[in-house]
Amino acid sequence: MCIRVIGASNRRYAHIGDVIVVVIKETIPNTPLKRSEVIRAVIVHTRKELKRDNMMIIRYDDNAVVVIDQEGNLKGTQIFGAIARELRTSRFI
Amino acid sequence: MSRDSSGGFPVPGLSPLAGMVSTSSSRCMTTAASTTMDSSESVTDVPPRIKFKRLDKTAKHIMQILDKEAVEEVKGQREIPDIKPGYIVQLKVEVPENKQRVSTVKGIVIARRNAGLNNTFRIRRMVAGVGVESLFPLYSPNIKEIKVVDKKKVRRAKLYYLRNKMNALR
Repeated sequence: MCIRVIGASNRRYAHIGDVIVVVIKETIPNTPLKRSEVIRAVIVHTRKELKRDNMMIIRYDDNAVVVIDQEGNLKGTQIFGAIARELRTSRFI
Repeated sequence: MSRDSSGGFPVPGLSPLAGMVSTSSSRCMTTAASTTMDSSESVTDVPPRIKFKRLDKTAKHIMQILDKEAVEEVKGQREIPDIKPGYIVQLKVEVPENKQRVSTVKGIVIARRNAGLNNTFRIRRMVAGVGVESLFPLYSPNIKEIKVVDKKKVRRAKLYYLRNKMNALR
């Protein structure tokens, strides 16, 4: 669950490629992350459309994030699912 | 010229404004004597109303012609098949930033919006277990090739009900 959007002080909304602070609500067993841990993550999928300059629009069926640490490096080793190109231009992979 | 024959043809934007000004002035004065004077004034000021505007002077018509020309030009360059909802379509989309890779996109067309040059269509596909909907302009120069693979029978123009049905790998 999202607690905070990193950026300006009263920033309301985050889109694909933004870093947010999340708290973990439920986990599958045997993972290094536990419930009610507060960590940072970057948004990779949103149900809200992502608009590109050439009038192409991408809309995912779910909202998904990828967990990162404070510097911006990935915490895990694998990412499941497709990643939009916008994340390549910013400093993530 | 045909314009001279109609006799004092004003700019079409001005004639309703002139009519409004004279009617508002006639409304302000209430005495009977002055209303007759005002009515004669309004008759001489406002020209007879013209029902049909000259088509080649309206911007809407000019924009329609420009739109059609642009569509014809794009159609002459590339071959763009007819795309209807329910078709399964395979696209080759060029990535403008890298300009190196031509990625293939294959999915079912769920909607099509007709707007001249801005014809757009939506494709729904499953990418790695997640449903993804993409909207593409039909005449975009980034779309290199469109190929219709299959046609499904549908009874709707917009297949948004597939969003609830196609969640196979959630």
